[in-house]
Amino acid sequence: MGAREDEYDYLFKVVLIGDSGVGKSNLLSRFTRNEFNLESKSTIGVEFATRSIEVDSKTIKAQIWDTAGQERYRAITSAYYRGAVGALLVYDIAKHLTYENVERWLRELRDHADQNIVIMLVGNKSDLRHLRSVPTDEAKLFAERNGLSFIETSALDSTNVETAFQNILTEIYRIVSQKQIRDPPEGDVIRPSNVEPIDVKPTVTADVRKQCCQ
Amino acid sequence: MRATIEFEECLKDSPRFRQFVSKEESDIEHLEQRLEKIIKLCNVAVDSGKEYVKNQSAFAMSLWDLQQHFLDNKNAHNALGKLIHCFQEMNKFHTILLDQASRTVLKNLTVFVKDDINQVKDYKGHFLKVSEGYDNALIKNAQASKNRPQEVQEAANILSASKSCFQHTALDYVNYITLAQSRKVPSILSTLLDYYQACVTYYHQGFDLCNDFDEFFKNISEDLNALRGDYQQLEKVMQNRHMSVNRYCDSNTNSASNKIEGYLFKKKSKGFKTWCRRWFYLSDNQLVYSDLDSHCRKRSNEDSFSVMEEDLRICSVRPVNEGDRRFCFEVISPTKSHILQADSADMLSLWISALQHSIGAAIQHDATHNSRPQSTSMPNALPAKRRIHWEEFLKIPGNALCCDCHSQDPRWASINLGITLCIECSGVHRSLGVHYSKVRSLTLDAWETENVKVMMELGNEVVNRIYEARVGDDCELKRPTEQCEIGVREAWIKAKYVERRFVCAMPKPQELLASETAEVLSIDSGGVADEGGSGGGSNILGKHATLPLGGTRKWAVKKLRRRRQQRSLPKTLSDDPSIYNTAKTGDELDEDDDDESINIPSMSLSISRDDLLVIGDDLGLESYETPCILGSDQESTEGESDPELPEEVPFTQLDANQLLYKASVVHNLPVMCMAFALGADKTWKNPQDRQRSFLHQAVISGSVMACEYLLLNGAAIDAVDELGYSALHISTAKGHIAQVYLLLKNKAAYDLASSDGKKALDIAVDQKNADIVTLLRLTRLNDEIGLNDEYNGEDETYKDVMKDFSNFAASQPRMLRQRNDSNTLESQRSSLTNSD
Repeated sequence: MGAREDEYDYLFKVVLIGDSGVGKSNLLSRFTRNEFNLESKSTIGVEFATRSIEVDSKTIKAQIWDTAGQERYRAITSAYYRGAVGALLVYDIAKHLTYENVERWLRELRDHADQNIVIMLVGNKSDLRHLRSVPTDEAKLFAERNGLSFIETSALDSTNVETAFQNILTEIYRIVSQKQIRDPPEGDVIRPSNVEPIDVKPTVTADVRKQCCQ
Repeated sequence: MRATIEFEECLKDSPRFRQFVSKEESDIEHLEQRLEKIIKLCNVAVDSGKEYVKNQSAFAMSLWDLQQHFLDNKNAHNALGKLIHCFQEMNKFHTILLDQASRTVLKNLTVFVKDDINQVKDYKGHFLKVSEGYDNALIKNAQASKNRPQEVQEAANILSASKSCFQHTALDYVNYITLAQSRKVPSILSTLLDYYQACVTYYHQGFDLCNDFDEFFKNISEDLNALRGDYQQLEKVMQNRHMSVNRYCDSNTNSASNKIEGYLFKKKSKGFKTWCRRWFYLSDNQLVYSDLDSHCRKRSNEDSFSVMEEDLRICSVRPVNEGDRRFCFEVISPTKSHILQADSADMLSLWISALQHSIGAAIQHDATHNSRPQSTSMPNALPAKRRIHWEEFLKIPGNALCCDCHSQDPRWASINLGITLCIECSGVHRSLGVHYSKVRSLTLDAWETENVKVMMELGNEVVNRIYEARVGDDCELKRPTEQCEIGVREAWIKAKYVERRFVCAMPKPQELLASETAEVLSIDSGGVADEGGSGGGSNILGKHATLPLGGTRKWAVKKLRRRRQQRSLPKTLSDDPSIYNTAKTGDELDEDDDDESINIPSMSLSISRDDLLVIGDDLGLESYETPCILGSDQESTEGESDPELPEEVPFTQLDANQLLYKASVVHNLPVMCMAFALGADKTWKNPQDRQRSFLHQAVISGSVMACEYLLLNGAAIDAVDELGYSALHISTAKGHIAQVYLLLKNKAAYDLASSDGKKALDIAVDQKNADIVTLLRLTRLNDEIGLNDEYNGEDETYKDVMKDFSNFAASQPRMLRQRNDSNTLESQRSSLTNSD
């Protein structure tokens, strides 16, 4: 790669959640590596992948947390949602139960994630037309009612995978960049300019923390 | 008065009679219909009345509930009680009235209809039958032939009998009719009169009741008028308050105390950098905010208060002028920075001055050596369980006095030695370098759980029993005191920890084998023993006992039990520091310099069987109060209750390294401490046991604190055994999450491959241990991101997530173990564990 891969304007943490076997890992591999594996194993704990995209000529790096769908392979829940700004809630359009469980996942998001998290409902495996058991309209209506964006994808034939990630990252970018216009820039937490003298009484013990043996 | 029929008319059975009868009959019929209608309607009235009463009583019951609301207002409570009583009484009267109605109207009228009218009707049938018989007799009589006198005679007889019967019956019938007709008026009227009386009684009772309460309710209405006046006054005052709003802000600004609380906007440091409004206040030298937002909506699974800054003494505060938002200020501590926004310029300066004032006060407060106010006395006290109060450290035996100079109230600690120190000695310790002593402040530093555990297991008394065992042999050095010169202090501390001059040396194996007994010194409780003194025997209180070694030719290290509940410490310990170095608590076995006996350095021994010497049986296990900060819920070691004795080793292999090796696998910190004092080699690997290091052993023990203790004392974290397994490999294979976390926190190499090419992550995936997989992958991810320093936010997420794991591992070790066990591959286990 020409430019350093580490150069980016924004880094967003996005989690992939949903029942076991709905195709989260394949969505991720299709998006980040353009790969698909029909016989992929259950995810244990979490897997990570990153990919950068351009929005408004800004580089956005998505750090995607592909979490285990199977209960016994899940690590402690709070770990998954800390600092996440987006969530792709995936179900399988051919397995109605995975759609029914969307409510449960939403509840988990509500309990553990940032309240401003951007959530996208993703009906995966849209290639399985003849096996469809969740009508598109029903899911769309559900998403509208719950304030989620909605898309149907197929990691197998690549339909909408790119769009799904593009959309959610753009949406997050809009929210965050709007905030940043109003707020001071990040990063330089202790700014050297304009420092006012602070009235701290000189004592022996006040500053020890910076000494050795941390 | 109605017309009656003449007696003769009846007897004559004249048409007038018949007419009369039929008229009367229809009259009675008419009456009956009316009466039945009345009964029906009365029934309806009674039923609806009952319904009404039922609803009334439900209403009264609801008033009872209302009364409960006014428990705090005696007057209102009382008045409501009386009113309810009234309503219930009235209801009762109503019930009585209804009862009367059904008893009078319904019963009497029904009786009248049933008895009188039905009697008439019944008799009518009889009368008709008799009348028919009479008619038949007449016909027969008329048809009788003149030629049959007998027949004529017979017919005449029948006729006369029938006639007489008819006449009687007719008379009776008329009788009944007349009776019924004459009785209807009195019985109906009397019935209604009764009902009227019941009504009168009802109203009378109500009137009496009201009379009784008249006085009371009059008073109440007077009170009400007064209350209404109060209310109007209050309303006025409230309205006036609006005017004081503007003044309030100003007056608030004037109170320059460090008591301040109020809403601030807080900028989130991760995820969306959103601002949220939280209630902040200062409490116990901490900056604290409520997790409830301004609408009291609680985020789940969190305590209701969060500590933003744990110790204001290490914080500073300054206004922030950059950025778009106004009235911002920043609270900075060595590790963090938070941006907060006040509502106005006045509030901004108020907050800044209050914070600065608090910081100053906290530092001064600390400087005067006063203990901090107990958090429990604070009005907004934080939940105490997560916080470790430094005073708990001083409850560990010996810790109330500096480990080296015995001055009072030590405020510092050496976390790798597990001792408390005064500020002067801590300075000397620092100068030794961190490979000898890692100094922390008890009061200023944030303590990790595993460090606390190490401190709990050791303590000045245990450590001095090891590091000052031979004090007295080496008389040229003066023990430092509180006021002594720095040189004395330095010389002593250097001799004690660097040269380890006062540590009893380990006996040579051949000496051990040669000696027949181990001389021990048992001391009465509170007694004073001349520990390790040359020549022994000089102490009268001390009683020498000889532990026969007999066939004992093996040794083992006692598995450490967690300290038990408190016997109070002997008074001498705290009262008189001068005898501290020799004072011992409780029964104890000790060694003595004696030619025939072996001299096991400063450790407790016991002979558990004929041939086994157990080291560390009671060493450091004098019972004392376990500080509440380490309840069993934070226990992260496995199998401590396991009664089985650990591995036995022949005497020929008793040296410092072996001792540390064996002590590590049973996480016996006092013995580990002794082994270090005896000069155990930090890089040593056991040639007889797959080249494993101490850290491997500690990992196998399942104990987090044993690992931490080794790491603190310089054990090589990435040492591998002959199969190429590091401590991280083994803790992963055993599913010890807390240890994996500890190792990763100490920067263990997670990419190390064993000789069969397995990395820790591979093992974790094989074992399907989701938590460890997550920990390992997350750490790797964090390191990848760490290459780019521009973005600091993610680092914080990593820290938070890691903290979640550590809290989880510390609080729910059993659950983790179960999760782990269900996924463990046995083969994986046995290949890695020490199953000798």
